[in-house]
Amino acid sequence: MISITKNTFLRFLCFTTLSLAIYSCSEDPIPGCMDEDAVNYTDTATEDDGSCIDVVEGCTDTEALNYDVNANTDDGSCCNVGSCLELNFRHMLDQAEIVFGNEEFYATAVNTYSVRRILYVLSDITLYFENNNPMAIDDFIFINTDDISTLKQTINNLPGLCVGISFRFGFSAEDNGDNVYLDVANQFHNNMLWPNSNGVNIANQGGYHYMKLEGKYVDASSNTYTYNTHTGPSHGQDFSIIYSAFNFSPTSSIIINMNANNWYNDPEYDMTIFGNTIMSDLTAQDLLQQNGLDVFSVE
Amino acid sequence: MNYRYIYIIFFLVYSCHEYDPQCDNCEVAVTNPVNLEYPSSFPIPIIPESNPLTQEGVTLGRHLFYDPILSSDNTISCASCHKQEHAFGDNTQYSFGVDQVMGHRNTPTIMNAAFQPEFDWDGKSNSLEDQAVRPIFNDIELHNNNWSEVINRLQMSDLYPDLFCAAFGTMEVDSSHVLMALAQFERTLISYNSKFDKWFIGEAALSNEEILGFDIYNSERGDCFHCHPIGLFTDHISHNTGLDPIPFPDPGRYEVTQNALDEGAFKSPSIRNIEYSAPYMHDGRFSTLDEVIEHYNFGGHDSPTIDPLMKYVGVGLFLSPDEKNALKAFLLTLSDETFINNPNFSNPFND
Repeated sequence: MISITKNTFLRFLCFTTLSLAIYSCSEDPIPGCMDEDAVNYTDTATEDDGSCIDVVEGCTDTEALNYDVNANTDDGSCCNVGSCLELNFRHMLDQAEIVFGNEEFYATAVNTYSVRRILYVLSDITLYFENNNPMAIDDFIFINTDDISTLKQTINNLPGLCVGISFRFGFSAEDNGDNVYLDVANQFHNNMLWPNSNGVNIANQGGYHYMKLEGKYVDASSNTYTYNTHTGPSHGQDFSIIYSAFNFSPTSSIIINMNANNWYNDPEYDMTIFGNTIMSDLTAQDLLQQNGLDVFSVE
Repeated sequence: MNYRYIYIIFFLVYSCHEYDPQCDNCEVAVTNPVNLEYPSSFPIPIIPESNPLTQEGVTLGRHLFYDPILSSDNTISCASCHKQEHAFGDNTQYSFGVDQVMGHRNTPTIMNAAFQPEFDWDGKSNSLEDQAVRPIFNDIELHNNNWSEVINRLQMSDLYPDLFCAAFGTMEVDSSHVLMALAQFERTLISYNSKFDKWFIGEAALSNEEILGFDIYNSERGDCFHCHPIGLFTDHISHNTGLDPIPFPDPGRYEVTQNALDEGAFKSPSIRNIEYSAPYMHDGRFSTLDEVIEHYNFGGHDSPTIDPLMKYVGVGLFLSPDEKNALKAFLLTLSDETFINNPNFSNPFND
């Protein structure tokens, strides 16, 4: 017979109780995503397991023109035939689509240069429709070749297929106030701000650049330098360019082409003279305004 | 009767501090919203809907920011490297984490973070909440292995369950609330009260030298403004400013994007309070403002990814000694003493 002493019984009781106590204290963590901003947030999770999936906004309608296969949250941007216009932006250097980078040089009649990036603004956009009145669009469009999301944009809530578009390159003087677009998406303000010197420098009265076209050029001695073709409200003047309507067959999708080389062709714009520091140079701004008349085309 | 074992059992059970919902005496907190004050030249602050600022959340975040409890060995806090007197940066080239392990980039400043879309020198963090988690587990910073150990330390403290209760309505510590509170505190670190700010709105005068420096800075003579525009004094964008020729000792933004055009690029820091935030650049290579100005005066090293905004690469700016002095004088007008001395931003354990 096994005899159980009082001491042994107490030991057993203590062990059992202790085990139960420890077990009841160590509740298993519930793994899951604990980021409330994530798509797969789990409110019952007690330990983040690294599974959080960031919200990727975009059009999730597979039938839409701008269906985004990477999007997991619909942002209301879906562009459907007949009710919206998709604008695709393409950047050419004469016949070649630009390969962006400092080292991709193009030899042209006037300059030999590369294009690292182009940022620009189209405003005062008006769309034209068959059997409908033209529609003025309130928002301007900001294109930044460093930000792929800006190279395809949509205008929604339209009455039908489009047959034409007109716009202004840059801003009119009245639309180009200082700090007026602080909260526009895609870092517009920080990218395009034109300095405000608070009365110190007449060339810099605030507002925004119309365009920043940048890269490197090669001079006659094969030396390489950077260039900045920056246009905007130099000296408070309006150098924007109005494009009258481009017409096309009824459509919900167009391509707006910029031939970057036309900024430098006619009249000739020599980068060895105007490569840099042109923001306060009215001659350079005037030349660019003249050249800009045939920079854009639409198809 | 021997009751020793009974006592031991009670002791062990009592000492078992795992959070028990039934013991949560936290009454639903009434939180007080915080409205950030900032000038009209700043954009709307970026505050997630899920993490509105409250006084209680900010208070909790401030304690967490200054408390070494967040490090694995209770030696290092966020504030060990992000020092208020240095605009929440560090005054050494690199900072030391747990076990005195040294980092490999200069500690970035924290100011006006509420208005920034990206964080870290390479812009890898898209929110303050996202950023705050990195140092907690980084081997060369706070060096924790997992959230459980962090949460256990906080849960067992005398201080934090009550602070979490006040901020989030529960005494249970969880990781997302830790990050939310840290982010809330960091969003309050706003600086806009420099001599320059006052001059810009007509409440102070600048000397002729400072005005000359401002014009060099804010025009293409010095061309500082494209990357450090007036307002926040950063464009939040990464640039290769010609610090090094290839091969780059640090790939910078490329590590995040894998885009070859981003090699050697780093996010423009805000240069507000630059007087206090030496040493400079992502690797703290320059000890003085004179060295920084001399780098840009030289024009920078050319490379395939040099930012074209570096207009004087290979040429040089040819700033005269007077122009360099003027530029420096202007930079010193960006100092905001009220920011580095603001008691609301200081160590709460010294209150």
